[in-house]
Amino acid sequence: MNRQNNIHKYKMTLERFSQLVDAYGSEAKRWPLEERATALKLLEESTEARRFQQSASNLDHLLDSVPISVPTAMLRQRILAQTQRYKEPVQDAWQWFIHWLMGTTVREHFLRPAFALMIPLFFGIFLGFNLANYPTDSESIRFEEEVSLLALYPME
Amino acid sequence: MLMQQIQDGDHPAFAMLVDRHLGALHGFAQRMLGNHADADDIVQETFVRVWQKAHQWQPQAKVSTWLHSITHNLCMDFYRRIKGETVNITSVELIDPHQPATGRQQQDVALQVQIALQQLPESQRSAIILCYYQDLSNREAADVLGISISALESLLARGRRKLKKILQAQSANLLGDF
Repeated sequence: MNRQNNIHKYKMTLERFSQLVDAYGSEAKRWPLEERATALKLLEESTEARRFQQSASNLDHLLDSVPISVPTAMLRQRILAQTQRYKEPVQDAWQWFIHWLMGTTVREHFLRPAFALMIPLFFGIFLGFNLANYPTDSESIRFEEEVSLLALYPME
Repeated sequence: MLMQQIQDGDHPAFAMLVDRHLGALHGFAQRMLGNHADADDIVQETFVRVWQKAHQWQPQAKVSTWLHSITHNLCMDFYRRIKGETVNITSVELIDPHQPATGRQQQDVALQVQIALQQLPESQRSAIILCYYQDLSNREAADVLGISISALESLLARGRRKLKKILQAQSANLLGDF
């Protein structure tokens, strides 16, 4: 890290220039901005520096020969379609219930609340019907008495 | 500004981000993986993550560096998944039989360079692609790879040396006189 921090404080030397072209290649536009001016100055003055640059340029030409791939329009569509699916914020249970209750069409605005109101009505009818048929025979009374007695005496 | 809009769930702003960076990220993934189909999947996954995790972006981070980091991590995951399998380089995308002889020769050279890039260790390949093709500064490339600048320079120099060696071995007349 020290070397990294001190790189820019050093004057450009042939050794550093050689490291630059070894790493970034022969083109000045790829050299670190902070060192570019001093490196170009050395390049003007030194035959040895120009030799280093020339030796790196062959590989650069080969790297330049690899064509740039162009993404298809379909890929863009795929990305936007997939992300669109995540667009709706996640609803909590209450929001989901309200959304379901009110529906999305005019017809649903009336039918769904009506259906929701029918649920407790039917539940009340069902409960009333079952309570009316609650067993009243002696066996069930005896059972209730036992439960009452158990409640009166603390358990050990 | 654009990222803040995306963080607020603005999908048209996200579409603008896709338009701005799709080409560069696709080029990066394609050079990393060596073929179009895998690159498509990686880039799609990159943008899906950007949309889902936009809140993780920090305003001090450069957007292109952040996007390259995500793509790079996904490429590394991809390598781990296919470890041991042969990398499929789609030569058909580079070779056009209707090209004149000189054009075909150039395509052949391009294919050999692409194959040579695939033979580099992943870290060296990433460093070369980020600095050489993606035009990232040394600081940005080092940030994407999570290393220091001196470590980046070391990777670049070793990568370029190895690339030369591979290409020299592939064909003497491809390189001419090094």
